[in-house]
Amino acid sequence: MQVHLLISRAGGQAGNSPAREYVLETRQLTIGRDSLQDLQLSDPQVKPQHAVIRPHAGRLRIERCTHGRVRVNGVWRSVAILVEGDTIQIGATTIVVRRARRGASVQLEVIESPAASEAELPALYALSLRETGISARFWSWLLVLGVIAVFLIPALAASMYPPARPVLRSNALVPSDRLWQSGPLHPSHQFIGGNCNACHLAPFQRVGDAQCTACHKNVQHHVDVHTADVALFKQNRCGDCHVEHERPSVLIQRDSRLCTDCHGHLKELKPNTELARVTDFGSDHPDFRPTMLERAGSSAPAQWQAVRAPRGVRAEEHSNLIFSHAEHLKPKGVKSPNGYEVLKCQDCHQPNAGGRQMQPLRMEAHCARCHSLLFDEHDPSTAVPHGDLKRVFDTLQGHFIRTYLDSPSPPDQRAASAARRPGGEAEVMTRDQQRRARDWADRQSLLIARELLEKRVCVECHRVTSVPAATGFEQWRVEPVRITQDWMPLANFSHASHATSACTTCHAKAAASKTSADVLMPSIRDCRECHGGSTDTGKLASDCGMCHTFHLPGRGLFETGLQHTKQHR
Amino acid sequence: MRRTSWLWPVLAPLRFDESGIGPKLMHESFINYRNHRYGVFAVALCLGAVVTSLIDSRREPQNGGTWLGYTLGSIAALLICYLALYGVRRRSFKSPAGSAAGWLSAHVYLGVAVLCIATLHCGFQFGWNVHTSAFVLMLLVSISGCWGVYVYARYPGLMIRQRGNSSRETLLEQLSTLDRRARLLVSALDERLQSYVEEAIRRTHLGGGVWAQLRGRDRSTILIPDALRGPPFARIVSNEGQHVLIQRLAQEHAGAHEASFAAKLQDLLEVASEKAVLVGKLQKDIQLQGLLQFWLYCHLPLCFGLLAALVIHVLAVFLYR
Repeated sequence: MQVHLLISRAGGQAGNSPAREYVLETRQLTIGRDSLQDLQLSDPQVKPQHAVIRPHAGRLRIERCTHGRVRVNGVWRSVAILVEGDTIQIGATTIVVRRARRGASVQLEVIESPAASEAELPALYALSLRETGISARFWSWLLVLGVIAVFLIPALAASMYPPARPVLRSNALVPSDRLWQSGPLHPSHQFIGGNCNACHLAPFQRVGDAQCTACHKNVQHHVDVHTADVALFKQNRCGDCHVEHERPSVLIQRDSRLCTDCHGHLKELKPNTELARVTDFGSDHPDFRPTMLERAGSSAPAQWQAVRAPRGVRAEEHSNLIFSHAEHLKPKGVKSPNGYEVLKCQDCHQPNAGGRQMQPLRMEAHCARCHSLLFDEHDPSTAVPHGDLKRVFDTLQGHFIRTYLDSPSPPDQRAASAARRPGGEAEVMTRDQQRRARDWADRQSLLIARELLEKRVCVECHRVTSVPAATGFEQWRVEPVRITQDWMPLANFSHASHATSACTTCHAKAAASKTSADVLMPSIRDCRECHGGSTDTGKLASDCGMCHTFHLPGRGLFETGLQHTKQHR
Repeated sequence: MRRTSWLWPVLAPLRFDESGIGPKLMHESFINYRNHRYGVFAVALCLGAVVTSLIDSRREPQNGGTWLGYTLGSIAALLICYLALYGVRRRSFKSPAGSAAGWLSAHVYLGVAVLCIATLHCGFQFGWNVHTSAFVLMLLVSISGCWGVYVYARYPGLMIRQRGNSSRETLLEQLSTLDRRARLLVSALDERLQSYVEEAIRRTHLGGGVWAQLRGRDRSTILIPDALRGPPFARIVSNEGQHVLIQRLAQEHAGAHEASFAAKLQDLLEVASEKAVLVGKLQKDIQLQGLLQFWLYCHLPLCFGLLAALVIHVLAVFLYR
C-alpha cells in the first residue's frame, strides 16, 4: 500500500512547523503517538498505538487498536470502511481521506491541532510503570481467581456433587479433586483410581477402618478379639500405621514407636501381661523364648502342643529322640557304608522350597544310609521297617517262619523225622507241626526283637519303655518322636536371607551338643552381632516390623475386634 | 552496617549505600534494625526447625502429616499471614503496632525463614497438586521479596550516580532546551536539514510500555527521505543514539564550504550528541526506576495467589483427611 500523507497545522499558519508531505510504502498505516508509528501524532489524547488503516477486501478500512477511540464522520467506530471524503477524528487531529481508489496510492490529509503538537515528551510517553496502567490489583485478582478456578471449584464440585464426578475425574487434564492428592496412591491401591470417595466418605472425617476391612476381610487382630484387651485399641485406626498418599509410597509404617508406645510400658496398660518391656531391639529387648513341642498327657495317639520356654530357665526340648550333634560332627567323621565320612550341617538340614525354614528330618532320607535296620548283618534282606512296632514284629515272624520252612533240616530237631521224608514230595503239615513252626518263629522273633529294642538298633535313637505286666511283643513301647520344626512361629525369620552366613555363625553350640535336649537356637546376642536398634547406624537398623507382625494369626477377625471396641466404648 | 555484626558475611554483598531505603550504613536500616533482632530470631527459628526435623527424620520419614509436619505447617501458615499483614501496616501510617522499620525488618527476615520452615513442612514431597502449587507460589513470593531487597539496596544509589546528581525533571528540562536550540540553529539552514532535525525531535522516544521501560533500549526513530526514489517517498528508520541524525549532519559538515555554515553544523552536531547522551541517561533512569518498582508488581499478586492456594491447601488437607 502506498500512502501519501499531507500534514498541516490547523489554522493555516505554518509557524515554526511547516506543512509536510511524504509517501510511505507500507502494508498498513499505523497511527499513534509513539515514535514507531507511521503517522505519529504528538497528542497526549492519542494512544501510543491508536489505530490502523489497511486494505481490506479491495477497500480501505480503519480499525482501532486496544482502547483507541476513532470517530469516522462524527460517529464513534471501532472498524469502518473508508471512502473518499471521509473524515476521521483521532484526538485533536482530523484526517481527511482524499483518495482511496483501488490501485492508486491512498492520499490522506492530516490536520494537526496546534496545541497538541507542542506537547512535551513526558506527556507523550509513559516514563514510569504506574503510567503504563499496569495494576498489581488486577494481577492479584487474576491470580486469586485463577487459583480458585483451578484448585478449588472443580475439586469441591467433585467432592460434594456426585453427578459432576464422571466428567471431572475422567480426564487427567481436567482439574478435579485429584489436585488435592498430597501424594500418589500405593501401587496396590491404584485400581481405585481417581475415586476419592471410595475411602473418603464424608468431608472433614478421617478414613474409617470399615473402608479398609471392606476389602481386607480376613485381617486378624493383634489381640484375641474376644478378650477385653481389644479395648486397648479403641483409639487406633488402620490409617495410623498404614498411611496412604505418601511419597515415597510405603503403606506399612516401619516406625518402631507405633509398637513401643504400648510395649514400652505394657505393664501399665495390662498389669497381668507376661510380655516383657521392649523399647528398642538393640538395647532393650528380652532374650528369645523358643516355642517347643511338648507331649500333652500320655494318651495313645500322642498329642503335642506348642509351649514357650519359660523365662530365665535353660530351655530343654523333649522330643524323645536320642541324638548327639557332637557325635555326628566329630572331626574324624562317622562310620558309614563307605568308611569314615565327615558330616556337614547341610547333609541333614536342607532348606525347604521357600528357603525360609529347614525341611523336616526323616529317618529314611537322613539317617538310614548309615543307620541300617538289618537284624542279620550278613543278610541284606533282613531289614525291619521303620516307624511301626507291629510291622517290625510281623516282619520278624514272617522271616523266621520262612526260615523254618525253607531249611532242609528243620531248626526244631525234635520234629525232623515227622516233618519230612527224604526224597519225598512236600507234605501237608499237620496242625501240630504248624504250631511247632510258629512257636519256633515266635521265640526267634522275640529274641531278635529284644536285641533290637533293648541293645542294638532301635535304642540307639529311640527311648524304649517297657509296658508293665505285658508279655511277648506287647512288652515294649517306643516313645513317639516329634522334633520341633518352628522355634519362633510368629517371627518373620528366613534362613534364605541369612544364607551368606555359615550355619555355625548362629548355631555355634551344635558341635558341642551331646544331647537332643539342647536347644541350639541362637540367642539375641547372636542377632545383635549384625542387627542394631531402630536408629543404629553402625549395624543394620532393625525396627519391630523386621521380625514381628501386628496382625497375628488366630486372634480373630479385625472387624470382630472393631465391634468389641465399640461395645467397650 | 557495623562490621562487627556476626551477620556481616551474609549482608556485606548487598552493599547498602547512602540513598533510598538502602540507608546509610551507620544508621539503623531494616537490615540491622535493633541489632538484627529479627534476623537472629529467624535464624534461631530455622535452626530449631532443621535440628528437630533431622532428629525426627531418623525415626520416621518427613511428611506434612506427622506431628512435626503439622507443627511446622502451622508455624509457616501463621508466618505467611503475619507477613501478609505487613501490607496492611504499610498503608496505615499512624499504626500503633510498632515502627515501620521494625515491621519491614521482621517482614524481610521472617519471609526468608518461612522458605526454610515450609520446605521442612512438606518433607521434600512434591507433585502436581494444590499443595506443591502453594509451595511454589510461596517460593516465588519469597524470591520476588529477596529481589526487592536487592533492588532497594542497589538501585537508588545507582540511579543517582548515573543521573549525575540531577533529578529526572532537570534532565527532561535539558532535553527540551536542547531541542529548542537545535530548532533555532537549524532554522537558518536549508529545508531538508530542517525537516531532518524536526523529524528527529518529533520521533524521540522515551519509556513506553512495561517491557520497553524494563528493557531500556532507545527506541527513537526518524523519518528520512527514501534514498532510491527521493522525496516525497520516505522511510521510518531507527535513530537509536541519534546516530542517523548525527551521521547526516557529519556528512553535511564534511561537504560544507562556507565557514559560517560549517560552524552552525558543528553546533548542531554538538547539540545532537548531547541529546544522544541525555536520552541514554533518561532511558537508563526509567529502566532502573522500573526495575525498582517492578518486583512489587510481581510480589503482591503472587502473595495474594499464595494466600488463596494456602487456604485451599489447608481446606483440602482437612476435607480429605
